[in-house]
Amino acid sequence: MKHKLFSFINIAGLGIAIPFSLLCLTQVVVVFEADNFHPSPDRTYRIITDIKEANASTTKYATSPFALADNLKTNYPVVENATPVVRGSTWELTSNIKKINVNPIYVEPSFFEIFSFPLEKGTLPELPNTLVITHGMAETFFGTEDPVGKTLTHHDYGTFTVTGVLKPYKRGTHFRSDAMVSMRSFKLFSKDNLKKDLSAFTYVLIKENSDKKDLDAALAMSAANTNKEIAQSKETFHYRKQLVTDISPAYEKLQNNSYVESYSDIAVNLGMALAIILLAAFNYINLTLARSLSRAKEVGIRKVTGALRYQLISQFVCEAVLISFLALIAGYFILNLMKQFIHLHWITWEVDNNIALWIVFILFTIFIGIVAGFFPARILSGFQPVKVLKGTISPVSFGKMGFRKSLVVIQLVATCCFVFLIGTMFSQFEYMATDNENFNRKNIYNISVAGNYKPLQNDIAVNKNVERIGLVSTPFGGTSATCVIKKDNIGENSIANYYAANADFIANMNLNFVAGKNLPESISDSASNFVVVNEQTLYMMGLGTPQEAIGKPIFLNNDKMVIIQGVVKNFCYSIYQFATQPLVMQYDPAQFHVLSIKTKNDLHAKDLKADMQLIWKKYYPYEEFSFSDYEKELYNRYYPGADMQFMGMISFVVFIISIMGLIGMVTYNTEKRLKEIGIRKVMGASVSVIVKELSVGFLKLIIISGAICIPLGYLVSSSVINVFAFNDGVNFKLLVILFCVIFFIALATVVIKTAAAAIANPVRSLRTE
Amino acid sequence: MIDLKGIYKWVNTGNNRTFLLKDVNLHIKEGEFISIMGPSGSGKSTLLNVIGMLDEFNEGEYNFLHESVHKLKEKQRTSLYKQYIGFVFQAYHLIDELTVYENIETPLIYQNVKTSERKAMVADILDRFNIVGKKNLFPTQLSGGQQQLVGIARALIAKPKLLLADEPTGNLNSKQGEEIMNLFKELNNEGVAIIQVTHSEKNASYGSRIINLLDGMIVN
Repeated sequence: MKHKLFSFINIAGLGIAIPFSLLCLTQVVVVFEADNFHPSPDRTYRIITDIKEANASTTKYATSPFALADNLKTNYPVVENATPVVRGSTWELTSNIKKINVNPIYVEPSFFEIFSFPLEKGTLPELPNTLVITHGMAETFFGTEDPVGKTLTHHDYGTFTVTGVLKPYKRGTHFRSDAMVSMRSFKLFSKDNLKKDLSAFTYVLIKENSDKKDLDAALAMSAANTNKEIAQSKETFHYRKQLVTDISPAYEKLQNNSYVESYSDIAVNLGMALAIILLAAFNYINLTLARSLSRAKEVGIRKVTGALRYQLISQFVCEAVLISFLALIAGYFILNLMKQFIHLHWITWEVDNNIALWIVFILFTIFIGIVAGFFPARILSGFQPVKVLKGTISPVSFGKMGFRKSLVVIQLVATCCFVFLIGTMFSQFEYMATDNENFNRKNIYNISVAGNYKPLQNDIAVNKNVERIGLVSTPFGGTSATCVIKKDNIGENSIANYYAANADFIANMNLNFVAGKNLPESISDSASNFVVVNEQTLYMMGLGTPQEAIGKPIFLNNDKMVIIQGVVKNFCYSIYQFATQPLVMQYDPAQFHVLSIKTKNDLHAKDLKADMQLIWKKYYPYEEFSFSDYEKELYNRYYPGADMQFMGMISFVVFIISIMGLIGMVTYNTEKRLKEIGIRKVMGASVSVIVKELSVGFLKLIIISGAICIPLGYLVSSSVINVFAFNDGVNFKLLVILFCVIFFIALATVVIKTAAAAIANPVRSLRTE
Repeated sequence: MIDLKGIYKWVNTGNNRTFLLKDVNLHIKEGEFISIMGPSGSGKSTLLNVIGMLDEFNEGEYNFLHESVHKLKEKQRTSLYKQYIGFVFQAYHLIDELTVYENIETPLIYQNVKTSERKAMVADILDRFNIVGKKNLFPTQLSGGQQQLVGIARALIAKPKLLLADEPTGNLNSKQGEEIMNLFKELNNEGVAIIQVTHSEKNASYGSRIINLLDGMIVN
């Protein structure tokens, strides 16, 4: 191989792009395999509800009324079994020491008859407040201990007993969850009208060898019954069946269809795969054309010896396909390497049907080869043999130079936007992870307590490092309990987040009062009648300006009248994406679970922890001590380190690819002008003059790319940042730095490559033999 | 003007050292017209490139006018040759993207001559070579003889004391070649020293002295 550099760039460029494409393709294959493990796939259906409004518009729901399953099972002989499944919103469950967000679904025992979710140990959840958890959750909560019989606590729903542990099951399934909770718990918590509410997914198993049409008829009949019951509303229900294996990917848009990827999600994945690989294929095209001079002679000789054009084209295309297969091998190794180091919950590495996966991989590789090879092949094969062999041909300047220039511009712009995007995400996550504006995290340490914590609190208070001890039900940054509030006795209730807190906690958090003052200091054992709310609460309840609202009564949880003592500015106390929810803070010692300790100055968490542990042991010798450095805990919660690492990797790869593209383009250009450079040198041009002359064109390209990517990148960045209701704005400084780095490297590449050509001895390029 | 003493140039291929020039001693006075002859591969072009300072040599001394070339840095060598030496090539080596006018103008740009002066100088030489009408054409639109004429014009534009020509008529037919050689003779009469590499006895006879090379050595 004469052109080691070119071959290297080709294989390496495609090779580093391919693993990401393979990964995207794997995700696509996974979507098709998401629900292929159920025992009777040809007889198991999900029931979809189409709701027709009075104005004839139809909304399709993946869910159906809760009672439908029962109704179908009891009234229609074609149905062998039917079960409702309800998806809960995210729960925060607490074992003694750990507090973890859990994704629950409610299931009936019949669920386990229809679907295959075997237990590793224990029994199925039947009684209220029982649940089974996944293998992974069991490990996170309980480590190596046996989870069966242990309890987990939810702040609203109380204590749950773990009755069993599920065997690991396929992550892609639309039943994806961390815990399966007994349906009787749901019935306990839910006071909604279950009849017409579309709260449940209904699954039906029909009898073997029965006619599917019987199910359709059954569905039509139940729909007619439902419509009779809801005749006063203007909607009509229509039920239809969907085979369980047809659920993923979703070919139509269904409401409530959670954890099912749609075709547009697949398109995004495929698009990613194509975008990355196309950037790399651009390089192949550019480099092959750059090499055209050295290949021209070969083409000439082959043509003279009788090769036809299509034979030459197929030769070049085959070469490109061969290169892309080499890249596939390299890429597959990199993919396996990545598998070892990247652990992201949203990436699946394994599929069931490896043959299908490899067919997809191989077809994709052939596709890349053809895309990358065809263009140069057409041009190279068009050479006139006579001209080539006389040596009067220069490297092809194919078509419009504009096309090749735009390839470079596209690559640079894509790189820049991608890097901007990731830079912006990085700075937003960093902001979320370190922010002290919304509430203070600095010098705060939390200790979980239960029962009578007062002696412990008093003992800690004497420690010389401790400034103030706040008391709170649960610290900011996680999910909180909720309460309902209303303006007066008769009004409609609305939901607000509720924190039981004392004045010291609010002081620790440095909340910003816009009116009124902090809760009164209290050491009483009963809840006080004063609350601090945020501006959003006033807005939602229509209580006027903060000044007006002070001293006004509101009704908490229906019957308890409390007085607004203070109003704090809206701040983010949980999820940065969402606008602030109404917030109520009240002194209620019965609900205090956490001591929020503020220290006087910066100190080592370790030393403080040791001190605190000593005190803890005095009062609770047999209980586990849970201590957290708040700043660090929230950093870990808000900063998705592994995700960012992965995104960083992608942007690095895209960057490398576009720099390689630039190298290819510069090489092509200098090779094409080698003779001219020689002449100019003999005419007395100095190296710097030649470098200047050669780089000007690229400088223009780089400036054009800059002019496109700065506004575009800003747009991309600001649209990302606007996803977050609480953001730090676009980080211009970071973007400017990233921009400078990218363009400095691009410029350096151009200068280095052209300088190499300019320094070369002109005698070599001017020799005529 | 030119004094070569014991010039050696070699390349190493494996363990063998192949000599391109071997103990070349040559003295050339101002205004001489010299033809270098010899079979292919005897080192004619290499010698010309060494004299033109385009190529380095491994051993020996080279004095050009009053400068010791072997002691100069690349930058100084460049400024020396762009002031005193013009090159003519067998394959003309014009820049295809530039017009005749621009091709001729190029060396002046590199010598930082002012635009107005450049205009006058290029106009003079176009006039002298009778190619005013072709100044806006591109090299590919010219015949070989005309291209070589442009090549010579470009070599002479900066008024060099020495013209180096590597087989200037090699790509031309005999009539065109004769015209070029007559032009050389004329230039030589005006005081420009010329060193040409040639295969043709006839062309060599235009010169005042012939140097025969064989395997990198001068044989006379």
